[in-house]
Amino acid sequence: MADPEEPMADGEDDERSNLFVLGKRSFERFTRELARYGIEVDPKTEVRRGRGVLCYYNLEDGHIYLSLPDLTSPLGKLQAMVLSTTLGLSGNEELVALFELFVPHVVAHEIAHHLRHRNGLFSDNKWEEEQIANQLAVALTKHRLSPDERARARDLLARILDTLSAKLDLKDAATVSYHSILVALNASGRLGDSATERAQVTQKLFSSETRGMMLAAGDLSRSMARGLDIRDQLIREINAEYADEFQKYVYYHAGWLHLDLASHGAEYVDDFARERLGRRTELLPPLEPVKAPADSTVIAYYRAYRDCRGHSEAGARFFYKRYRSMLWEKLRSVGLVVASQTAILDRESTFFLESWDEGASDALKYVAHLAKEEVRTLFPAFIAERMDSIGSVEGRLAGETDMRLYRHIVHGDVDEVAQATLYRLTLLDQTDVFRPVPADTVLELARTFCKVHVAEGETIIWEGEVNDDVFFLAQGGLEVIVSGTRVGVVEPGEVFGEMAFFSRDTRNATVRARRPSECFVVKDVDLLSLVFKHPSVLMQMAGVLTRRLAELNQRAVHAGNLLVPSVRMGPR
Amino acid sequence: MNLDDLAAQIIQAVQEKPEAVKAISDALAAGDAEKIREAIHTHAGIQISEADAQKIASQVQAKPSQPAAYWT
Repeated sequence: MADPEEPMADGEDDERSNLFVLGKRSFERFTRELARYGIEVDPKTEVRRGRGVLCYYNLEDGHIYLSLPDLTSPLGKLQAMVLSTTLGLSGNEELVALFELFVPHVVAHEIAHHLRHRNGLFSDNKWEEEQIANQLAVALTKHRLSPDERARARDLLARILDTLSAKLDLKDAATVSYHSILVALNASGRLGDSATERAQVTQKLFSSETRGMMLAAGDLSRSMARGLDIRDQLIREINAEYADEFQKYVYYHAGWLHLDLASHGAEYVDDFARERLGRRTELLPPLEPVKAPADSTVIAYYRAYRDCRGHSEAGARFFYKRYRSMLWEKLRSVGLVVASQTAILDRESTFFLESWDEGASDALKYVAHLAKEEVRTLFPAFIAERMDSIGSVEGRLAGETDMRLYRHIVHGDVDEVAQATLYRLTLLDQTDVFRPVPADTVLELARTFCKVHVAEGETIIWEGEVNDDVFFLAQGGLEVIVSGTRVGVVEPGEVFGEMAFFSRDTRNATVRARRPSECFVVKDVDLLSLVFKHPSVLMQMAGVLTRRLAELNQRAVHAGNLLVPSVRMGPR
Repeated sequence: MNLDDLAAQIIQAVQEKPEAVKAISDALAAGDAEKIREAIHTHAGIQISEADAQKIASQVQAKPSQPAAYWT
């Protein structure tokens, strides 16, 4: 018998060869894309022809083996026959269609194994490694499939699952063993979108265990609760048996992939790098709360703001926000002239601290007349006179983050961590939406958002897809297309994808890169919890949305059409 | 027996016989050599050894040796 790992000759002009070429091209494309995130695939790693019908990454030689039935040989025809029958497909044509859809996914999956292995992170927990590899595969491939292609892929997978689950008596096993129970429940139609979002936010806030949370909420059917009871056991079995039972193995992968494609969420390479390869960009630590700051501290922050102005707009704004929060704390600790009004300060803090724009419309300054005399001179209208009353700024800043940022911005200190932090603050500062958010929240956001690189001509959002993440364009240029017609462009600093976040509906437009672009994305769940804490984010997003709809309506009127229905309403 | 020859014979024998296709495919997918031998004999009328049955099952599934490789 030939060694299944022996590479085959290249170059046959048949379906298998075309699919193999597709695999190789996918590998090259993904390798280039990963490089943009600073992730290096070993230059020696190759995609080689395997034999049989499954693909794998070889931990010993470090190559990826892509096994596809050779439809020109009798053995290949037999392989195709077995696969088609096993999977419940109608024949070779459908089998080839299946491979065409999934070869890039498979290649991306194997690259993930390679990267984990190369970075010394590949563990004995095979179930977990499979889930991790799927995370990268989804990040690299899902956005490349149009909604129609995804629907076709889901249909094929649903048929495969029906066939295999009946044969193997494995109802719901893929759902129960999926890496995220909440996403699995949602994607399999057992938990509504709204309930899923709320459960996700709650889980994030309290680090809750899913099964307990869902049981107590009454959201789990009895059969699903029983299913989840055996989740750990199923995962142990998957680890023990792994690929021993070919059909079972294919069932699990088809089931997980079906959930990946049906789920509303997206995966991002940046997240994979952070969570699965330990590539965290080190950023300055969170800000410590300061109670009852001294006058000199408040003045120092105002001076820091002024000092930064000629060096970094985002840095200056950061310190202005810090100054305002110090002033706020000072006001609270000293109290207003009319003591009973101090409680209003606490209650309405969001309005005064967030609804500002640098310059004329700072709500905080209208509180100055209520402040005690000694605090009043710390307000913007008077503080300039006290600027020289303190010596050095640095010694008076409240913590490591403020200190290092100040030194880096004003004195040009070489500090990579401060530099990375400032870079992210600058990205966020370029957006109308996050510019007004308090400094501590911007720092928190800087830690969580994902960067997304989009090649020229690549689609980042598809009209009709279900996903509520919100994007911001940092560099490059994008175009917005509705029903095949270009309706607008996105320029750096602009937000996009916010309509679906508000409407909870499918995407209204396709967004494609006109040139190589860098975006960052705030995931639906992260943004959902943020907007409840910081209504200014909502206000800004609503402003963007309203302006955009007004433009669309105006264009429709000029074109002699009726007004454009702004947001498709109704259930997905 | 040469596996390509065996595969060609099986394909030839099961043409237009969906039940035979299903029975042989199921046996090959399950990977049990005895059942493969039996299915090929019953539905394709071809007598093969258990070793050949094992070989052809391995080629259809083509499992690399564990734990050197991981499948997807």
